[in-house]
Amino acid sequence: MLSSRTSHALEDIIVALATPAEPSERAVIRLGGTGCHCLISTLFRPQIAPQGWPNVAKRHWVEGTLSVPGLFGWVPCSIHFWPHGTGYTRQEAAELHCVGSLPLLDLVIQSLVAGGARPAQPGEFSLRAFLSGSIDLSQAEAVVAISKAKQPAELALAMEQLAGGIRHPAEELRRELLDLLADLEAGLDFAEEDISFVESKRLILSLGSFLAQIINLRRRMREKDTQAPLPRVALAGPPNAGKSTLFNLLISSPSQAIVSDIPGTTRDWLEGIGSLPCGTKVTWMDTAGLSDSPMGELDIVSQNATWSLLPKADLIVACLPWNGIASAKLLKPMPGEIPVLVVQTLADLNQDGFTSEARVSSHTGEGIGLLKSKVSEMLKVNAEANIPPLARCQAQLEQAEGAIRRAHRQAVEDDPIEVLVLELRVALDALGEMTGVLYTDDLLDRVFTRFCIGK
Amino acid sequence: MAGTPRLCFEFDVVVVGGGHAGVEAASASARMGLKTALLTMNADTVGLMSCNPAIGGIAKGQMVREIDALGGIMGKTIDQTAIQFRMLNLGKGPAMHSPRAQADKKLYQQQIKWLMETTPNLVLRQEIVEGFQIEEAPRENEVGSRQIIRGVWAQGDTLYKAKAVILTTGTFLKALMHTGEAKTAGGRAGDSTTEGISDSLAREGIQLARFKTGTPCRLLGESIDFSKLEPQPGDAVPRPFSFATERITQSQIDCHITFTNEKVHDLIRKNLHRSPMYSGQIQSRGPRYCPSIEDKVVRFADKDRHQIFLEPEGRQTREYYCNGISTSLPKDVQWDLVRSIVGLENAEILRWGYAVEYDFAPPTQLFSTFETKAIQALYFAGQLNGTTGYEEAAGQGLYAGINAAGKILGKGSFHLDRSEAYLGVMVDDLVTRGVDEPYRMFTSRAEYRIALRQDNADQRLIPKGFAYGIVDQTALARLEIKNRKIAKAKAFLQENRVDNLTYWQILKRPEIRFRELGENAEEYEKEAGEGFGEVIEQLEIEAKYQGYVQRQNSEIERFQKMESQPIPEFFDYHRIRQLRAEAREKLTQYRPKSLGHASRIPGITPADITVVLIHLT
Repeated sequence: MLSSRTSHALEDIIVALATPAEPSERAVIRLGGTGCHCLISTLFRPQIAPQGWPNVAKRHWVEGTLSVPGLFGWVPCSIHFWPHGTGYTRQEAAELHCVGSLPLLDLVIQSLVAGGARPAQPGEFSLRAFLSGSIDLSQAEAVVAISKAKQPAELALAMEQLAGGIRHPAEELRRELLDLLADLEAGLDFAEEDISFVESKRLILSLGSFLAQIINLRRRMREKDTQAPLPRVALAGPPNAGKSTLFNLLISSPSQAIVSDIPGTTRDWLEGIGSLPCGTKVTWMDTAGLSDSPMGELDIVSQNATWSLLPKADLIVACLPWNGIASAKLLKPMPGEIPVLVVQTLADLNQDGFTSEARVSSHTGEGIGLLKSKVSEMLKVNAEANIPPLARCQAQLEQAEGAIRRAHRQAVEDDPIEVLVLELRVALDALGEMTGVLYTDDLLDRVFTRFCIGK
Repeated sequence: MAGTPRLCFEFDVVVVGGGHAGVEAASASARMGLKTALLTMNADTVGLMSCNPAIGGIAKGQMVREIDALGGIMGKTIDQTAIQFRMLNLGKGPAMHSPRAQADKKLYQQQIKWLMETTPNLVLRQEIVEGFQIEEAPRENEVGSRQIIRGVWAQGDTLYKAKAVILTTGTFLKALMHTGEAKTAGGRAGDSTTEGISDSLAREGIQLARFKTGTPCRLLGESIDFSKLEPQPGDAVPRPFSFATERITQSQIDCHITFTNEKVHDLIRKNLHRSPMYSGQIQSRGPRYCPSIEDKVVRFADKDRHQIFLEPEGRQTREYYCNGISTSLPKDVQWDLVRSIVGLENAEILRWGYAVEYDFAPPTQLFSTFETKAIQALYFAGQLNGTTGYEEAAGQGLYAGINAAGKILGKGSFHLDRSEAYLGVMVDDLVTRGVDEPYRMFTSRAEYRIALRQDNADQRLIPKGFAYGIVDQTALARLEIKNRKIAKAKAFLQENRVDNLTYWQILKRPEIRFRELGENAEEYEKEAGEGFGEVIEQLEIEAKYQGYVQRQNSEIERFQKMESQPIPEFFDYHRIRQLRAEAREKLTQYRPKSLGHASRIPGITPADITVVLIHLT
């Protein structure tokens, strides 16, 4: 569910990179919130200023150049402006399109933040769009899912959900249910009329067909659900902190080949699957060491790879050896919303600990069990905070299925219609919550358009 | 209106309008001990049934039982004056069973008038009300409107001062009747209309809109050939509406059924341009569930016949009501139409059918006590709120009467929610959703109808009504006796067994009746004697329905959770910039009391509710 904790800031200017954090020809930075056009105008020089610049009254696509403190020269850039009341979130908004150089994008975002914007939380644009009424709940959740998608399969599923993969069959089913309900209700309220209403045989058949549809829908969703990737835990820290040794202890499968789904970057990390105490599996990731002073070209490249990798983790284990030197500083720019577990490594070499959440030694095996249970605990908390939309849909479909199943049994046993109708209403409510519509408005409409009622 | 009155009266409550809403409002207020005046344009038409001669029906019958449980007069009066009783929908489960009765129209009306004349604290008077005494409300009064009503002005500089005024003017505000091309001012054939009240209301900022409704022609019984028609008799064992009525003793009269045919339909199609509904003479909206015969023929062209019930209007008259062919076609078409119907070939028309257009006040302008938001101490009830039907009107009148009196007596508001009563469903629908056609009750409007049955209206409402002071000790005592009998009989059912099963478990089977459980059950029933029928009914329903009722209770809990998220009465929605403009406007206009209430407002989306929730917490 979209949480209410972001509500205090619905008018803040928020900024986020809308394209993957990787080098590319073109990247998009998205801004939203009152005053964001003014903020952009401090960095951007339009080739031809639109009327009223920077307060544009209509949607505008403006070409121009970008100048950012700390960057020498001007970068070509184009900006799409949406004034208040238009666009996806119905708020004043802008999209900045420029070359996808990570340092450049970083600098632009930093300057915007320095100018008063704040980094958007995951799904925050979608929340605003939802609150403005321009998308419904399941669409908003699908967008959130896309923004969080870690694997192509997950992304495809989220995309399908957004495009109506779940909504269409659910809506169709809901419509058919509503028609049946209208017929049944008419039979209850207008028993005195000279009209033939639903026959018992037709009722059983229709309910049987609904049941089959909904079971099918649930099965399709379940199949997709099992393809969901494992949670990822990244080991990060300065070079020689003992990460790789720890990694080898944690994985239960042999070291996998170096993998990457981002083209054009150095394939410089290891992934391996390991089990946590409760039996949950996670993907452990070993990353290149981060240091204050990278040595040489290769080092810079692999460090960049680590930085682009970390945002993809569900949990970062900060592995810090005895002298916590760069430690705090290093972890500061970690992407804010990913939880960090601070661990003192090489514990056997350093008896004087510093404040950390766990002490481990890969040599003696000290603290490995504790580390695993801490990881398990943190992942669990995190998972509960972000109930995935699919799980919610599953729950609603399950509720609808239960109700239709009961209604079907009642129809077979020839139970009173007013009781059966109660179950159909529960099913409609569940499907309606899923697709974001309520049924009460259209029920009587259907009754009156389908039947000639009234003395 | 202002100035010095030539004549001045002081009352606690003044009710304007003596229809089914007005009489319930006035008698409720008087029963609660307040000095009450009922002002009507014509003292001869108090409690008149302007349209069909029947009370009850599906959902409506349940409401009459609720009105009766809360001390209202409709149930007792119809028990005394009906000429036919039928329990409808017996083929369905007990939640659908609905009592309906044909009334002796004149007798019903006379009985109501008698009650108005003889109820202590109540004064019935024929007056034409022309305007209101409205003043600036004192500062110390509760937040809200700055206007307060202090009384009403009647013709001849007469002022009726009051602490509360209940308006129940029905279809009489700026009423216009149509029969074909002919138009007559008036709210009912033979009666006049009220102009002054509409204008006064509009001046005070009350919004008005227009609806239309229709009525069929009436025939002379002597001229109907009943031998060709199918009779519809009353029930062999008639069941009363009122929990206080022990037994129905009067004889019953049959109704008859006939049908329209293709010839009738052709005639209507040929003359459609002369129907005010289709010629554009009437623009306002009528009810879809009570369509005119023109509407039925046009909208359901594939049907080759429509049902007509011929209902006698009383014992002392031969007038018959033609239920099913409400029309505003011109007289010559009505004449040919009627005489094309089987059994009516030689029928004499006694009164012509007509449509009537009238002003109503969209009920979203009311608080859930039916007090207007614009003017303190002014209440609206009945058809004025855009409803249709005697039962709907009576229920609202009772509700407004109780609340107006309760406020004067310093009690909190009297509230029924959607899970407690059809009356609660109606009040919530009206003030929350408003109306876009004349509002009639259906069981499908009630989400929790398994619980809202005619048999348990006393158990649902008498204790609550007694606690509030509108139900007397006698009614409560009667319910307690019934409950004791039920408890005793239930113990009997649980103590006796056939093989391993208790009687109670056997009674759960749909086909098993109480007396079939065994010889001792039969004896038990005999010994219990008169009045045990309702006890058995309740036990059988409870046994057979228990599982479903429990299932429904879990839904009711869910509903109550949303209802218990209160929204402050004067919550400023304009402060919430994230709300859509439409939602802001709607919520400001409707002022929902709870999140559940807000979610039922038409056009409010789940997203709006989320936004409001965020700002409430």
